[in-house]
Amino acid sequence: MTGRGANRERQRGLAAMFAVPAALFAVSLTGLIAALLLDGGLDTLFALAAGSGILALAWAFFGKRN
Amino acid sequence: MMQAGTIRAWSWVHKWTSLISTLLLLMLCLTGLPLIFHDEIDSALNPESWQPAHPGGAPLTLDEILDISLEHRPGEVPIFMSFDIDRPVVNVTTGPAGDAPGHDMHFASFDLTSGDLVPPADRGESVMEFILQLHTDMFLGLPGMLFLGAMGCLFIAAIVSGIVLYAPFMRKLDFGTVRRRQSPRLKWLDYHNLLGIVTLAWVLVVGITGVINTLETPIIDTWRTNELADLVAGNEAALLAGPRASLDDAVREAVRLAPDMELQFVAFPGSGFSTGAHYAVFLHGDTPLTENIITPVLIHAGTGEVTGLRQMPWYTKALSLSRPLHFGDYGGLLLKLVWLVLDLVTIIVLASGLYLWLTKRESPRRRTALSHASGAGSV
Repeated sequence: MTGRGANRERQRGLAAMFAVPAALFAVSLTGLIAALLLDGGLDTLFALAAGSGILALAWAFFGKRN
Repeated sequence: MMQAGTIRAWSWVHKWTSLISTLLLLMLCLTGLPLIFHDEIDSALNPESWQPAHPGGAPLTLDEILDISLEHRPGEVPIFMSFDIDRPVVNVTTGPAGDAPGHDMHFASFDLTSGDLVPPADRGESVMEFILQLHTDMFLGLPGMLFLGAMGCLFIAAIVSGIVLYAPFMRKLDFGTVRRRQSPRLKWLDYHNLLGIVTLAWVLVVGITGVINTLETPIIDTWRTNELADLVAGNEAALLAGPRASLDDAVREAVRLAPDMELQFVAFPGSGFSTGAHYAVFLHGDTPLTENIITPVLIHAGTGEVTGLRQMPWYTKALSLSRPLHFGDYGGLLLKLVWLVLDLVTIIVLASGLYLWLTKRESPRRRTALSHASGAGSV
């Protein structure tokens, strides 16, 4: 494999490894900050977004076959 | 693939930053749990039964309330005055001096319709105060706060190094994999990685805002020194000898200057939030974006001269936003429950990290384990 090819594979690997954690990070952070800065009507939605990591844990424990 | 030497270096950072801070972080997580529900605990222990003496009656002036409060505390000076939102009650904090430490301050609430003392709703308060102080400074004052801030910095370093180390461990594993049927150590390694990575945003927010909160005293001191320098210079020594200007007029003028803001509290001359000679009338915005940001209007407490609205600098605004973001008391009960679960998950991450370190020390083949970490996603 060429150097460029190996590099592409490494980047793909990192992207695959961090895709879900990065999405959870973005959704959680958005929920945490939006609940502070935006109007109260969407508090439930923002709280669920802030707790998206908990939903991911529930899936890993109960929904995923290890 | 990450080099073995790089992994070793990050492992060293992760191990030592975690080990040094873990016990204190466990204490912070445990004491933080009841603090999330401070309002709910307070309301449950102190059901509202108080009624004003003259419901709907004309309120006393703030100057009258101030005089009454000082009659109750002879020899003391006023430090802060705050206002209940949902009942006609004014709270006055007094002390032997404006800069008295918190434990020397006295807090009393007064019926705005009569001037009578409002019985304190303080059942359970001493326990919550104990927990809050343990959480904030471990009863050590400013050195304790700064020490916890330093521990918070180590925690942030542990989180960052944990993200870096997540990659070599997860190279051959799908997200969410927990190898339950292999060794207990492998199972807890997977739990540690999974629980740590899904709570990343929350622990970073709570960790960083916690560090900012520990800097409250230097931040407020810097604000006074820099932003109020022009007022402090001419007035600090000239502390009120004669009659003081009307507090009511000062508050009225402050509210007039900021019609789109709401009154929050008054800091009296000599307190940490004002100069030696000014009333600092603090207001906050009336939108979700601005309601946590406080802005003072300073009024000379001797002459009544108004110096105008003073916008707070970015570092005090950051402090104002850090408080709710740290304690999670800003988005309703569901967000508090999310805070509760994430706090419990963080306790498991800390405890499992400690377990992994203890079991690793017993392992005779650390070098082999490290090479497995970089090559096969296991230790």
